[in-house]
Amino acid sequence: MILFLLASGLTLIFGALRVLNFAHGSFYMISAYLSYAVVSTLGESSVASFWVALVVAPIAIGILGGLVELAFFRRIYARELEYQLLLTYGLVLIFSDVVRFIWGEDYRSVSRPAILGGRALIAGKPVPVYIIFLIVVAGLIGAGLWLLLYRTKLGRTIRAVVYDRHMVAALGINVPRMYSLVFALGCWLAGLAGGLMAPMGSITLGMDVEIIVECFVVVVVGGMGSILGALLGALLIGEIYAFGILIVPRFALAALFFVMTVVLIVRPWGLLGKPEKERA
Amino acid sequence: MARLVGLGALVAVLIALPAIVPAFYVQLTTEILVMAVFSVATNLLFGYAGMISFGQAAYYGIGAYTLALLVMTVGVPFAVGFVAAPLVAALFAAIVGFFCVRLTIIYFAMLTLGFAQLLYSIVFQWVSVTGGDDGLHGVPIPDAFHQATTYYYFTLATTIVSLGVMWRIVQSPFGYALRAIRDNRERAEFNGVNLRHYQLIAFTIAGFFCGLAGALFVPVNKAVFPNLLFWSKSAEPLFAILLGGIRQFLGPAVGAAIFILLEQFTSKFWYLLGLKSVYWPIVMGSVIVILIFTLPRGLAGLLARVRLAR
Amino acid sequence: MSLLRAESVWKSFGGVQAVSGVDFEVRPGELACIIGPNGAGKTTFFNLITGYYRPDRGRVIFDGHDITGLPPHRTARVGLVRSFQKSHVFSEMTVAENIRTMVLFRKHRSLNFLAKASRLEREESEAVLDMVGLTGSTRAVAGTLSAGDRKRLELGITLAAAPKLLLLDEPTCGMSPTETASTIELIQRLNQQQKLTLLFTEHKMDVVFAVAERIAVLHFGRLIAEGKPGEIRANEEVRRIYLGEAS
Repeated sequence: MILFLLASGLTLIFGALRVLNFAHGSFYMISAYLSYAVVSTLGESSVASFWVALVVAPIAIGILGGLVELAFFRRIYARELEYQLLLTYGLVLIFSDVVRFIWGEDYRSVSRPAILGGRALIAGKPVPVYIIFLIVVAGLIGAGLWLLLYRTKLGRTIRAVVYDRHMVAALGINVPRMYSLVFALGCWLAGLAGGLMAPMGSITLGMDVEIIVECFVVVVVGGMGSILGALLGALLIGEIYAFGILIVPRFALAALFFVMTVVLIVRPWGLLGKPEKERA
Repeated sequence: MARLVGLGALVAVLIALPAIVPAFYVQLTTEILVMAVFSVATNLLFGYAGMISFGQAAYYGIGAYTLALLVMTVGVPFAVGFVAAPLVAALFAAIVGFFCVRLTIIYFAMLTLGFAQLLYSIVFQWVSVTGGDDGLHGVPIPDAFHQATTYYYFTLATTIVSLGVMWRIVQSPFGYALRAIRDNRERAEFNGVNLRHYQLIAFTIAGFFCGLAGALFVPVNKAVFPNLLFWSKSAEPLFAILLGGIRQFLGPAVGAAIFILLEQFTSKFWYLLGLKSVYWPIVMGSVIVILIFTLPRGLAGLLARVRLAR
Repeated sequence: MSLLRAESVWKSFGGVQAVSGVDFEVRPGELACIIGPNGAGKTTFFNLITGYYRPDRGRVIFDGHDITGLPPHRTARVGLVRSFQKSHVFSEMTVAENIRTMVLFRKHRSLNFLAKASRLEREESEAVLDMVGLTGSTRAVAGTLSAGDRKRLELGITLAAAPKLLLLDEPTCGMSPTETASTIELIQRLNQQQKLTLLFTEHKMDVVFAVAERIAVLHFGRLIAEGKPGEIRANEEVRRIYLGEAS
């Protein structure tokens, strides 16, 4: 589900801006660290600290993302793809060191709030409440995204930008502002994923690239630019990963790649994507 | 002609180097040469074929690990391991490339990174064979190579031969075909060029030379560790390419020299600042970002512009 | 006997019927032209023949081979080569390199890794450059050429592939009157002296009627008329479409 949030942000940005953001995982990592910072400032014992972190960190990441878009990406849309990719790659390097500078190399963790701490019995089996919480949140976000994109004026404009940016610009819509907005929204999703992830495991350096690689697998499997594809891909990958860990714990990642290569051979554009050529 | 003279002078200086500078700098130059092979090989893809790979460290690391494992675990002579290393790297590149070249630029970049991280995680977690996080230490190397100067000359010779071969490839009909694909995939395709075949061959050749660079690096530290395959290692040749110039054959080699020197300088600098850790990636990342916005053609491009202005 | 035969080829994009059951053939040695208003499906038809798109229905036969849905590099190998409306050249290579690369490729020499390409196939490359009139600017970088020269260079690139049938998508698009005249002259020369079969699309009607031996008219994805220039000129449906005459 975390993967779904991340992948949908990544795919949203890609769909609208045609930019593949390697730094997406960095935003996720920074958000996890920010959550940690907020929680430890307010005090572990405070009930509200987790919730405050969950609201504050993603918003901060959204703002950070918007600023990054304004400062860097905006100047580079017209340039060759290679340079766009290199730019996001450079940002990954910078962000990872900034995090290392601020928080050091030790593992960090955030404890779950008491409400979400226990286990609930579902069909006779104990399931951590936090997992249920995650599924609910991801479902809400997914539904919210769908509503936003298909049921609001803003969403219509975003989809129009995806379809034909020049035409939309000619119609008097401020396309650059739309770009910043979409970018910030995508980053907010990454931030949310980071905040939600914080109490699940340890927060470490290197989680940025680890997650972005998984994210790539998800969007490749699901189809680039399709939010539904991101959902399908995330579910599929999550399942395979879980099974993979049960069977061959060390090489679960290899199992993921196996699935991805199979998808690539059969449908190079992903399960729910469209072939690039037919779009032209 | 002037170029040839310049090149000859450079080689002469490099040959005379151990007599001029202290051993520390000889070792540093060895590292520069290794990095130059790695960077020029990566630019075979990026600059000449228009394929941007974020996972070239995988083949560098595979070259290094192949040599170390063959010599340490299997017990073959160093020379055999050294010859096998680039071949094994090329084999891996051919397998990974088979999947990656089916895709357009963006997916290609994603997949090369993905596969590299996969190989990294295998090396990292397969402790019984690779030594995991600790890597493999004390790789036995020929006695002669223990002496920095001897190894320097060996590296220099290998580098010159490698760069020479790559230069020929770039100038060959195959190199022309790669540049054509880079400039206009559709035009090449509609003239009958099977893009995938050419890109796969290019990826395999680049894998070969990256593997060779990895093998060359082993005697420098007499050890291998998983970080040789890590994604930040893949950033290093890209950095050198951007810095030195993407469209000049030797640009990335110049970039490699600056890279190694800068790394030395910054680690001293951080140390002077009293910081315990070395913040190197941030310097590399910042320089990449700055270069993209100011000098997209690298130092070579800058030189060309200055020459034009005159 | 036909060199290229399209048998009721169909293609739609998301419900829009771009090409509807077009039957068309090109005979060896002829100089044929497809005309039609904007959006008539001329370029789509080219794309279907050359493997850029796969037809929904129908077959494409070229020189005895069924090439329906074959990828572009395969259709080019059997001798069906095309140019693009917006010129496609190898923009960071010089004019000479553009041509030489493709001459080498056609001669199956592109998998040579160590020879010096600039020393190979000089004569043939120069012959091609001479044919398209670019011998004066061999060292210019393709991306810096004028639009007209770029068109000519792309024509040269296609010729380097030694096609049996050359498809030209608006070969004089964006050219000045002088450039247009010399390109027409070149097309005619290729057809008459080199015995090259050509099929092209064109907007400039004076060009079409001056050059083409046979003209096909596409309208809304359908082939509505086909024949000698004189017949097309007299065709009522064509007149209706182009002149808006009441029937």
